[in-house]
Amino acid sequence: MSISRRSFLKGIVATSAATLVGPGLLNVAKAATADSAGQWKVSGSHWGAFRARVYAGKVQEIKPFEADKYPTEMLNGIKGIIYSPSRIRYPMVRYDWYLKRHKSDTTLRGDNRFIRVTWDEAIDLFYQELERVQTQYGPWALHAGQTGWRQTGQVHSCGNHMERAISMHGYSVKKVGDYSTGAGQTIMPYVLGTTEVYAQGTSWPLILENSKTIILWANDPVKNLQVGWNCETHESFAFLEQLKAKVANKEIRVISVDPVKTKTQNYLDCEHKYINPQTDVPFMLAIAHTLYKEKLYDKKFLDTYALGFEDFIPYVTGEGKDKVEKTPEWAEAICGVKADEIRDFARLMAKHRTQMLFGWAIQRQQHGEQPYWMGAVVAAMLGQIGLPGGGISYAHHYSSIGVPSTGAAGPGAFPRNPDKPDDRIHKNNDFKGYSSTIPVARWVDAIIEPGKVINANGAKITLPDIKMMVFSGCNPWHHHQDRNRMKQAFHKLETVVAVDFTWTATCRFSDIVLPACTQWERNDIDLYGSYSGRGIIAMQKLVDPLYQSKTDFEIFTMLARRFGKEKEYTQGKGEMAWVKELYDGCVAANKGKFEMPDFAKFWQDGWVDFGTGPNWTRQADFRKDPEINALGTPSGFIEIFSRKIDRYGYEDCQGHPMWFEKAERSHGGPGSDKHPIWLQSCHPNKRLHSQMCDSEEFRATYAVQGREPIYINAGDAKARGINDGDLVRVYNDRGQLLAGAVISENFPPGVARIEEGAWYGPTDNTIGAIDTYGDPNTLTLDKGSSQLAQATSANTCIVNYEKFTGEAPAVTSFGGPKEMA
Amino acid sequence: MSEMQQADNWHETRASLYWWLATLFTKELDKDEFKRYSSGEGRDFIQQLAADDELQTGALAMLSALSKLTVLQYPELELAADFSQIFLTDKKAGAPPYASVYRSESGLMMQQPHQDMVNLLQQQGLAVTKDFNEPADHIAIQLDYIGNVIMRDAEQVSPEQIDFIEQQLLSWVPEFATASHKVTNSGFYQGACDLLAQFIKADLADIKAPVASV
Repeated sequence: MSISRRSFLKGIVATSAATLVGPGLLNVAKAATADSAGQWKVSGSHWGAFRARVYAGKVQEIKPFEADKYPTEMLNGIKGIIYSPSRIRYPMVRYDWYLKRHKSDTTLRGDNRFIRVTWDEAIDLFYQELERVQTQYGPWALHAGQTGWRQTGQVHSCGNHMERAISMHGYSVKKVGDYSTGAGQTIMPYVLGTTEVYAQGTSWPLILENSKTIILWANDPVKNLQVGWNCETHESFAFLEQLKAKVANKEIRVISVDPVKTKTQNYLDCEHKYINPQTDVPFMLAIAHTLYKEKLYDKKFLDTYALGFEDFIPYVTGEGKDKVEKTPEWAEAICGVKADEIRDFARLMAKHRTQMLFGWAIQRQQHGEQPYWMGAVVAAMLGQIGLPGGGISYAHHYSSIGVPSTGAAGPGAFPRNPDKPDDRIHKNNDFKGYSSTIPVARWVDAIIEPGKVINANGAKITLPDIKMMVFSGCNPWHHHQDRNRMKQAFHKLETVVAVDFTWTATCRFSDIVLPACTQWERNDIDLYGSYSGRGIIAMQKLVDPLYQSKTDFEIFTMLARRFGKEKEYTQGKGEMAWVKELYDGCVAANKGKFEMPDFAKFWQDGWVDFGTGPNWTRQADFRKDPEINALGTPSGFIEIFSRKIDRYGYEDCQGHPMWFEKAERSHGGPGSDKHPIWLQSCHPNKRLHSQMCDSEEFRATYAVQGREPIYINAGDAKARGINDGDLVRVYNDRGQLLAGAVISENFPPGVARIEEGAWYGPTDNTIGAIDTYGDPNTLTLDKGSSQLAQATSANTCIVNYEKFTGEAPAVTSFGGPKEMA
Repeated sequence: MSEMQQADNWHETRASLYWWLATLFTKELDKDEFKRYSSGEGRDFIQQLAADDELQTGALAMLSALSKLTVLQYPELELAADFSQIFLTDKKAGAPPYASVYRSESGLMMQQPHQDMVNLLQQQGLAVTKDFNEPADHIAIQLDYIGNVIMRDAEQVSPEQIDFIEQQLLSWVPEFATASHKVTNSGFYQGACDLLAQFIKADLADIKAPVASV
């Protein structure tokens, strides 16, 4: 007798399951539209604009926007972001925090179990904590001001939503500065009158036409121009292509001053001037020495346009306090550039029109203010500031700066500030002696040493006793330094809320995790070309929010609803009403200058093209008339010597640019006997910071044994028995990580690179645990650049590395939290 | 009970089992639901299942887990944390309940198995409820769906029904069940996964086997 269907399940009565069966998950649907191939929609991103084919509710295909002549390969990673296994699918709360709230065991943060909650419950918990912290402590205990690169889209700008909602509830600690340009943006207003880093620069056509020499100083535009703050146009690449031709024709000499042979240098096939890491200031001081001694500097320019040269030059000639003459020989011993080469370099710069183009990584080191200041001094001595193709730029590698501006107005944004700033639920703005604003990179210091008084940009800051933090589209467990120190700090925080769409390490170290959706799951609008103002782009929603994710707009509206301010928060407008309002505002601002179609047509067409703009020279108006067009410095002139900074009395940032030895430095500097390798953690080539690291297939195009690459020198590798593709343990006194070795001739002895944005994945949450993926900030120094900017010093970092043997721990960075064994 | 009556109840029993399993994988048990499992009709039901040779292993594991959990201070929260730990994470750490993760080469979400389910649902004029909003290859959706098909087919098991159980369920559920054991916690959901795999295997064998002659 066969096993009959009637004997299987014989003893079970259907009805006994009936009470245990929940509601059905399927209902009747409308007939699907006959859409055999799908629909093409337009959208944008930091990586550029594109068209996406959506079929059966899924993004199937992405192709570059036709106006983009130089699309980045990173478009291939976008689908992987949307469908990443690291997506946060539901609101989650750390289990121990769920049980005990602010009395939870905070040492468990980082790899604790999470429990799923409903949206209502999650927002309730968020709101209750805001209430508790405001009433039990006060505004000084809440820090909800850290920001990141967010996603693109002016309506759904995540930082704006967080700040507006929280500000409508009460006061809190804010920050000043950012991790990108903290030192640079703080020093440059004293020197040239603006931040310089976020300002349009001399147009590329003028540089190509007039410069005879271009100095790329620690600058890799070919790598960095792949991304942009708004929807990136990549218009700069057309000019870089022209530059490449001019280099080949020997019309323009381009010299890359850098320890590393950069992507740009290799693309342009230009010259390389090797320099020891972190020693740019001695090199520049010696250049100044040569210019001065050989009378190659423009005295008339300095007399007319600059202040304080006479107070600065004794430092160079050896007649200053330190009595050290900054000769090329003096500089050679530090920077590794031969004295004669330094002299030749200075002479070359003075000979013809020279354009100096600085990158940002150089100011992300200790005393990062100095190389920027000194660069401006050299430029002033050359006397070409304000001439087309001369002077100095600190931003031609960023967001299409250098592409001429059309002058068109872009769309505004969802407001960051409350409409009625005084009308908060909690009106208490007594910070009890703590500062209400802190330098952005000093928040970990605040948690570890509350009450400590530090100097920052002429003021005294009393670091607040932070109890609760809220992060929205911000990943400090990527961009802040010294992971193990952060772990310590996070033992002290009572409550951490993170809003994001992917399980970053920041989310893993949080208590309440709220799933936002990606920018492709909502409708929005963006400026096409942050500085060129090329156009306006429609960001047409590709698919509905996945899983239980919501837009930032919805999330913070829900929060505002808790304290009765929903209508005020949204101004009574939904998503598309906001998109239209921002568009209409743009139309009004461009009236008479740029013709724009009505909103419906714009949305259907997908974009408005403003074309190209006229050429422009930075500081030309100042040069033309320094009285009328005075710079924004205290005197209105270029300040080689700053009386204001001098009066602050800071040891590590004085009245004029100086060389300060670093806390740690390779190539003969402090600590180099123990840790001989300089670890450079510059912006990645195949990510936007940490964004796109979670795109599995795309990460596979560069990961080595599933880990982040470490680029190393062949000789250094050989000495350590390391072959290309080996796993490497990288370490110093602050931490250790595993990375995959890539031997490259672009890297000189004593230099290694791990790109920042590599997702942190420690083996466990104990302090000192090895990072399994290769996050360089496991090893970096958490110290302010100086008392001026108190900015990040990530590139002041020395390490050693060795071949890793034995069984390598699995990578833990991706896919969400997991419990510790 | 006559054989005709058994036949009538039989497809209802099958459907209700698929639906019961769908419910278990849809979401965590709340406090009341947990009580029914620790001491009420839920426990009774699993005990019935434990009496069946095919389903014994999984059912016993679930009962054992319930006993352990009941003595804890917050048993339903513990169980919810277990659920999250196994199902709400990625495939390295646990067992995400989506066919694509196990049946696609990349192991990513929303691959061809998902597309197949979307097409199938569309053909049948069905859609996933907005509340649930999961990719269509979520185990709970597949189980819900097949329960509907079984009820529709009644005694006449259709080739389509056999096909679905074989191609869309048995093709990945055993691996899914194995994956759930990556995680060590109460064992309730690991047991449920094992029971699911055992049930589907036995059910498929059963409906493919010839009916015993009267």
